[in-house]
Amino acid sequence: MSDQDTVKRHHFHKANRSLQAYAFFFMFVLYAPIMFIPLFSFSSGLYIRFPIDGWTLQWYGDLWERTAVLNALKNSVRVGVSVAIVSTILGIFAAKALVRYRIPGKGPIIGFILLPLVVPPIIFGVALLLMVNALGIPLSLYTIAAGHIIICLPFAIATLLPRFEGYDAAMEEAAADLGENSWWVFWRVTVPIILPGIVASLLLTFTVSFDEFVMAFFLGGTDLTLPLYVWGQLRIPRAFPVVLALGTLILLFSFLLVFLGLRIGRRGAIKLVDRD
Amino acid sequence: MTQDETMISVRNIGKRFGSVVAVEDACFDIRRGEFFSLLGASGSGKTTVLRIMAGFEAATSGAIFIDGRQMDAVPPHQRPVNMVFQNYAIFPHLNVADNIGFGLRKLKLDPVERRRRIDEMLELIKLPGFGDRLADQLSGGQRQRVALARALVLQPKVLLLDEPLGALDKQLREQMQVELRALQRSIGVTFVLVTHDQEEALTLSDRIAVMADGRVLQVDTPAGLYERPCSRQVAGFVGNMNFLPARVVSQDGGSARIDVPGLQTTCSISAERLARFGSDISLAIRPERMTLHRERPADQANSVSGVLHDRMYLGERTQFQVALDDRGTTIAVSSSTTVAERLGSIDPGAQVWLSWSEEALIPLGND
Ligand SMILES: Nc1ncnc2c1ncn2[C@@H]1O[C@H](COP(=O)(O)OP(=O)(O)OP(=O)(O)O)[C@@H](O)[C@H]1O
Ligand SMILES: [Mg+2]
Repeated sequence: MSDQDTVKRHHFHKANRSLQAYAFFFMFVLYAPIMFIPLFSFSSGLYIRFPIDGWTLQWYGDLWERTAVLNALKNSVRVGVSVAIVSTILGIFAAKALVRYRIPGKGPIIGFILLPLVVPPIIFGVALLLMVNALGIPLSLYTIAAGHIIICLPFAIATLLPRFEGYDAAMEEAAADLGENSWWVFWRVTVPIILPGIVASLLLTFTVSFDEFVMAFFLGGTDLTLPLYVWGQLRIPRAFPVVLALGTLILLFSFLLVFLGLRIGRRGAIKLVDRD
Repeated sequence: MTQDETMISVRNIGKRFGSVVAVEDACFDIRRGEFFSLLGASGSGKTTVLRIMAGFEAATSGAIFIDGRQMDAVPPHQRPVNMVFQNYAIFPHLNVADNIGFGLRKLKLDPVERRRRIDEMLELIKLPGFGDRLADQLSGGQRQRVALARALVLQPKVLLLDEPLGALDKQLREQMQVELRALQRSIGVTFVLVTHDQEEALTLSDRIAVMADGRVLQVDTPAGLYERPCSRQVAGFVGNMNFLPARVVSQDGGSARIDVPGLQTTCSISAERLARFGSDISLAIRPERMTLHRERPADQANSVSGVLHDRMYLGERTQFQVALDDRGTTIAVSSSTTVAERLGSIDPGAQVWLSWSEEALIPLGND
């Protein structure tokens, strides 16, 4: 990541014109459509069209008067937090096992674990829905969370693997040698060393769950998450500007979390003071 | 050796990793308070033996006793041994004081006592006032000392050290050797050191186990290994050695005589040793056990002539290469430079004589 950054900066310094133009074009194509959402969330008109009728913050104010929005937000946070915690914990064990133990066929196993990153969520969504129905489990926030854990686990593992690869297994042996059993070794050595990875994984998995629509659509019951609420509102033209305002906030929040997660994940070991 | 004197007893230890045999039938005892070294080339199984002692690897066969207690089922955190790791494994998230105090948690000391013990250790490793530094603010030698202190603060019965000086430069390594030896003497803890550096093993150890290909070849004092190597492999690994072809000429009762054509001499060997070597034997002699002469020595029966090939000045010592009169065997002779200077300058190609005393000849098997 940081290498790419430096390379990019390097070329900018050299003022490579064509590359510069390409980079701007790339950014424009990537982000211009998304920019329509914040732009029109401040428009006082009901419809998306130019020229913009006028500017207002009214839609943002309206948001807080709708209990349905706050409910959906609460549901999303509850699902997101539980998913982040569960998938990060599972991710820690999986990453540790993958790095520390000689497992035959490790390469294919890692590929298999990361598969949900590229399999369309609709496939998982349908498959899980069939299974949940067959087992007679009622659809609820719990089933959404279960679906999200599947999607989030690869993110957690991919974030944590480098942290485990980045430090010497002898650290853990040294702790055991100094008299700690495996539980204490984990708390006093493993966790502090991989802490940046844990924080990054929590932030990333929370964001993925918070923004996820397809799984939630298939596996949701009567309780709506935020993306489901947005989807429902799209059918009501009068509600559209409020949806744009909500979308802008979600966008901003997700961007912040991912940015933070990547920053922390990349940084060196946090220097914790262990007073024991 | 009585039970009381033995600290570690290694009984027929074997270890395989899949099809790789890392250690085979290792068997030796380490005495209480001894500085013991495992010496061998890379891949000879030294680290594996040490890790079996620490409990990080389970032996495939055999048993280990530490202070009279069988260790097979005892996990690493309950063994009365501590280890200094090859790359020191200093915890990066803790400062020096907390690294040293890491193992003290279980003793439930009050903070004042904990601090006192840590300071005592910092004093011992000559790093007072370094308690607040982080691992990445230490030099290689300082890390090594912190690793030592971290292990010794727990007052282990045995300290295991895996190539602790391997990462240091030559000068620092020699200084640390002196300190390590002095430290071991002063605290009296049994040290088990793994090294591939024969000089380090010779200078530091009370006794040494020489390993090759997973087997323990010989366990002896430095002098014992040097003067009485039990096999050609050991002789070649510890110090420099000349090997000459030899054959058995006569055998009667308790002893046999072997002929060494290169030196135009014979020497005797006990029948018992000969039985161990088989008929395929050679003769070994240390370069410094030979004396170089310009004239034929009058008073020495054991002498041979040859042609000087080369002369190398090594500082304190000077080494000569001499081609013997037979089929061109070349022999290394080493003498102190002051003695060599008394010989005056000898040009390569000049005829010289070599002499030795019979005790210097070591018959060995050709395994
Ligand atoms: N975990 C392992 N898995 C497979 N083979 C191993 C393992 N550990 C050691 N070996 C093998 O066992 C043999 C002995 O290894 P060991 O590390 O004990 O050697 P060593 O004498 O310490 O060598 P060095 O001086 O290079 O450290 C080697 O052939 C090594 O490849
Ligand atoms: Mg080793």
